[in-house]
Amino acid sequence: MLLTRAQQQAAAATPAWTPADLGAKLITWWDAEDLTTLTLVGSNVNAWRDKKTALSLNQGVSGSRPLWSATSFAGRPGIIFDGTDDFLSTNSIGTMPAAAVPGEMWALADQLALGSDTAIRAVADYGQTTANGSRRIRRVVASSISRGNVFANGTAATGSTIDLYGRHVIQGSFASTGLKISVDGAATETSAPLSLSTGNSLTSIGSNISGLQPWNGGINTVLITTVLTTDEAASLLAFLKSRGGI
Amino acid sequence: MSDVVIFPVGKEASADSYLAWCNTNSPDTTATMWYYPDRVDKYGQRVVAYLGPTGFIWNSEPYPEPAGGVEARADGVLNANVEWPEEQ
Repeated sequence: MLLTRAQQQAAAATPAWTPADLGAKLITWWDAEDLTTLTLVGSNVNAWRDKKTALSLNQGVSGSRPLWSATSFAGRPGIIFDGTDDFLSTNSIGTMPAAAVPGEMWALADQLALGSDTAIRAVADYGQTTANGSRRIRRVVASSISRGNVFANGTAATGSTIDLYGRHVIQGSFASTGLKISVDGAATETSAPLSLSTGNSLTSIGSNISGLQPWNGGINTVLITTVLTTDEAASLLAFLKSRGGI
Repeated sequence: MSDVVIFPVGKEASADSYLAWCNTNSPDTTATMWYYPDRVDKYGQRVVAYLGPTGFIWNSEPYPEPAGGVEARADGVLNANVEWPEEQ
């Protein structure tokens, strides 16, 4: 169908959708493609600030600093976590949902641990260290295959149909009605209802909030949102899949 | 994965000594320290990040191990894999 000049101009003038279009539903957004949010020493990451509230995740220990590269994530910028001990963290969760308040955690990540590596590896985690008091999305292994997993308060849900090796969009939803994991908009699994009750003292990207379960691979984006509508989730999924070449 | 130096149980003083050596010889003056002084693996062994080409990238290049490094970590074992304490 041919567009009129007015339609062409309107299409050209419409800015591309970004997570900022979620408005108040976007709580935090860590974007490895925005150099203004990163503090680097050479290629080592000292700090990564969220674009919405400037919540800064830091690493003051040399041996645990991940690496930033302009091309490490499918030819785009990304932060590389070594799978040994790299992570970024802070003693705060800012305004992210806690206690029993529902919310979502999204990540665009490149998972490089092989299925023979059975270690649990966390993309992002926030809450408190008292037993299971945090919200986490992570990689687990089932039958020698990497899977996406969401975890909180001793409850978990694992996506069972997509091998998490390589670049993927990992979405965790947290609500007392159940935790839900989704990988690339599919491989969705929901847990049984739970007593959702997570804390408010620590945030980490690249590990759990104890600095363990280190991520092996790249991370391009991490976002925390309130509960999204189907359309909002679809827009965010499309944005992240486009970035990741998925 | 980055290599680390794992010190057997009973060699904690050697781990402290290697960590001190790394603090002195690390090129990164922006950091508070080279590595955590209390990191232990699931077997209770001290772990210190390796200040050398397979353990540390500096200015986008593997960092050559400074002179004295081999001696400083003599009581430890260079390892590409760490079994951290298990958590749920």
